[in-house]
Amino acid sequence: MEKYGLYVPKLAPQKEYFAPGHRACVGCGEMLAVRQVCKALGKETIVINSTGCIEIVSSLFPDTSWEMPWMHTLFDNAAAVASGVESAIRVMQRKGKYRDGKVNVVAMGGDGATFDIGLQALSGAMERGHDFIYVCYDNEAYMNTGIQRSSATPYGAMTTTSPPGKKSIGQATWKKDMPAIAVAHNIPYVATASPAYPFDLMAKVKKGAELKGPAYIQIYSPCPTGWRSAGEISVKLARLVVETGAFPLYEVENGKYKLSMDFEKLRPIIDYMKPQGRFRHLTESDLVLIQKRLEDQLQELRDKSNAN
Amino acid sequence: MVKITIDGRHVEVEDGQTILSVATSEGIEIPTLCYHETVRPAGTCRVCMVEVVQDDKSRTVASCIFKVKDGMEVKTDSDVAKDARIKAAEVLLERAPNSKVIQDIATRLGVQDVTSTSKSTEKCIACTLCVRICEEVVGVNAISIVKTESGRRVAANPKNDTLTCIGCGSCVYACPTGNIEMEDVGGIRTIKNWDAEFEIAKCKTCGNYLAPQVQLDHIKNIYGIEDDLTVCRSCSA
Repeated sequence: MEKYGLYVPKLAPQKEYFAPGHRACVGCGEMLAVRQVCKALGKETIVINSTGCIEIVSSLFPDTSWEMPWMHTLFDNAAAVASGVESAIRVMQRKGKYRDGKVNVVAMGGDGATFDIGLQALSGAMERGHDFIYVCYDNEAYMNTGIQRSSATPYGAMTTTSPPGKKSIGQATWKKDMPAIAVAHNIPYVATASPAYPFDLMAKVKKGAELKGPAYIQIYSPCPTGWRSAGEISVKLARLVVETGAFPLYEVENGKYKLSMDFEKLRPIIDYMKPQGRFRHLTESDLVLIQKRLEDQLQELRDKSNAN
Repeated sequence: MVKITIDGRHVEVEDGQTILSVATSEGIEIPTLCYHETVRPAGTCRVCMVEVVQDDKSRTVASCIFKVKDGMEVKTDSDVAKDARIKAAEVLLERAPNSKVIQDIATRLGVQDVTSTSKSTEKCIACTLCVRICEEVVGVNAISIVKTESGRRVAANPKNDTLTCIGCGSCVYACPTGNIEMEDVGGIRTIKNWDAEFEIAKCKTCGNYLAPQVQLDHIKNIYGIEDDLTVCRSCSA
């Protein structure tokens, strides 16, 4: 349960930095997340956006949705470009050629650009300790190019390159634990968020921006097209994924884990998987296996969180 | 329409606007603390001070409440304006020396040494933002400014038949210095500052925590809903 409700949404910043009218699919959870991230960061921000859905739908010539400086990079080097931008600002400020004050440098990418293709650039940037935020919008496959599997695709999910059938369950491997990889770089801030909990998401982005040093934030982004789900339930899916424990919300500040919300009783995973076509082929025993694994993972997180 | 000069720019703006809103639309940044776009401004924190020159007389005003007048010249970055802001920051530091937010804004405004000799342990700056929000946005008037021996403080209104705090957290979210603390532990929501405790209702289908019962009652009251609203959004529809 999110703490803030009822009248608090009226107090959120009203200024939008990500304009409507972009070409995202109906019910896109990623655009919802982008909007919330931009709102949290405010005006003094430079966005470095790797190739992917966000870049494609928001920058169709001659239009743009970005009301802040925005740069498109290759699939693999958003974090490297962000390092450059951050270093250039730092040097120019030292030489008095750039106005003083904090500028948020934000690299954005999908799960393909983060988990697979851009991992080495991201790892380098985190290791060098640049003062930037990396936001990963995790929609669990390469949706923009036609739903190919990535290392973020959950076990059992159908994609065009992991089709289920007699000899295959769909995606045969478990989702890569990317936040743990980020934590292993000893960076000051790592967090996971979901657009169904906007105040939690915005608080985490703000915290990442305020802390000195790299921050990694992974945001769960429902994709109705790729997941074969109805557009109107995207926010519900973003909530169910947290309530079923499939995508726990937590933050890691200087190596210390803290669960953002926990539930006395987890919802059965079927509630989350049933509305999605990509999990339709899974049998009862598959679900039991997945449920067990998710519960174990959550318990591990609880233990780490309680250890502090 | 009135014609004014702001930081050397000649602009024509609609009558009745505040200097702050003109500056914001012109892209000129003025620091603020007690200002919030959804409620009426109060001009209590004074960090938004600017210099106004009118009829050859110069003075400093709080830009969030001062309305533009024809022919006025506004200087947001002059030495006079900066001095006024530094003075405002020093007053705030005196009252809330341990608040990180106040220290940060004081540094930003040009205060050299933010370590105050004040022994105050207060984090509240009595900017009344929470009071205004509770009145205008939430509409329950649960808190107000009271005068005590140690100065002006915000406190919960005494409980009586009228509406009181519903534990919505609007004040917690808006408080510029993070003074108000809200915590959900074991099905009880506490807001220490208001001495308030609320029992959190559970969803009758899934059994997870839903919202404080007093909030559900509040919604039922103002919208005249018969249903008891105890099914969470994931379980309904």
